[in-house]
Amino acid sequence: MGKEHEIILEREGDIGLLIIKNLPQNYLKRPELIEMRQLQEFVATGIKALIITGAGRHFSAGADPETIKSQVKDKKCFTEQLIRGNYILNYLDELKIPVIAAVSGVCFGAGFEIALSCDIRICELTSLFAFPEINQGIFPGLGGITRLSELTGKAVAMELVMHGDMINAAKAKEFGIVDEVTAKKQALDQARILAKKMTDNRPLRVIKAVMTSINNCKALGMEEALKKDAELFARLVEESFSSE
Amino acid sequence: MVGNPKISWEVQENIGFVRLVDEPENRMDTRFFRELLELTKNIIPAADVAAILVTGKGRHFSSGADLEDLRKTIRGGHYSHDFLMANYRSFRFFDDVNIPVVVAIKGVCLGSGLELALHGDFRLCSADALFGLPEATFDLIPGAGGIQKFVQFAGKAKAMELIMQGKSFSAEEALRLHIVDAIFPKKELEEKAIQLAKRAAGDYRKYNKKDYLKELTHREI
Repeated sequence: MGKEHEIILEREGDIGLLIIKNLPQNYLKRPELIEMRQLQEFVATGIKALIITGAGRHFSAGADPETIKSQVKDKKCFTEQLIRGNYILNYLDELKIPVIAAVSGVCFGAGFEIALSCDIRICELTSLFAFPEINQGIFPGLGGITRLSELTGKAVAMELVMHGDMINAAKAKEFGIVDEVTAKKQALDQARILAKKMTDNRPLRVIKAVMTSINNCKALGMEEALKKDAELFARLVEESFSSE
Repeated sequence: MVGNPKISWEVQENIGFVRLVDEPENRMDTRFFRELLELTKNIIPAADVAAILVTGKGRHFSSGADLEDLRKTIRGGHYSHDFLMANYRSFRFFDDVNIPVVVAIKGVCLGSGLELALHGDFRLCSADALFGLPEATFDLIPGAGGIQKFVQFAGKAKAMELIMQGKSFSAEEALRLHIVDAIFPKKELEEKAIQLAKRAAGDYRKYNKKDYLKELTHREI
């Protein structure tokens, strides 16, 4: 059975780094990337952006099949872990600060699902993406299908999930899965540059207001989203007075 | 009402012209929004036009909201929300109205100026046009549909980057981001916009958008 994955949390100024480590492929041992409380506490330190990346050459090859095989024996326990894993990715998806996936090398299965729960994906020319779950007779269980469909449309998402085919960075860009492709070993630095651009000199309340509005585009209808924007705007005006 | 009007409305043949006329920057203050509300609620719906052209008088489209003036209005408490929603509905009118709306942009097109432009069906600009949503640099957000529209046209990643950074960008960049549909030399801009409005008038379907643009730019080449 594979060894436990480790999550390293680091702060670089206002930017938080979440590093998935289980060298060399960064296999995930549990469906739960990290404990919710640990993640919430890290966010509560006041980070203005979060970058998720893998240690070494790869982002993550996902769950290792051997581990899953032994875990499903205790069905109840596995289901609970899966639910907790889902909570984590939903939390990342709805987080009111920018969350950027910096992807090198392989980004498979649950690893791909983690990347899809981020707001922005930056990868390298040599990066590879896939949902290989189908080869084991299972499917992506952490919301990956839904999130992929939102980016690519149903047809492409169905193909990727049902064939388990691997796609390269160029294809991922073409399908709208990644936002930017960098040269080799440049994804993390590019993510840092982008995170700094977005957060330098910006109060956390403004960052949160922009992210709330952007997340509302998807979650609410136009009319409702705009009502919320008007509320956010009025509150920011009030706050800008009180800080004067 | 004292002072000069902020917006002019004129009908030529079957085209309605909305012009921002507070030169040089065509700023949007409380009075501008009041006039726009009247225009979109009562005047345009009653007019017999088949297309609308929105443009700015002089060198610029609009530098956006007059912040000091708006702050005074918004500070009035619970009135603020209604005021903001009314402004948004005025912008939204140009998105919802069932005739084509062409926006012709030269010079600066910032903040609420860009938010208004984003609610049209077509955006044509001159090569020197400058775009941006700088609200975040004033610790504010674009609050009149600009965020939703930006995400729709340019995608979430670019929307996040440009809105949080608040940086302005060129006409070429706007074209790459699908924020504008075509760029023309400044001298030809209005003529092209009128040509497009006439072409799309009475025969506009969203799915025809690309065909009309192709026609317009092919003639250019």
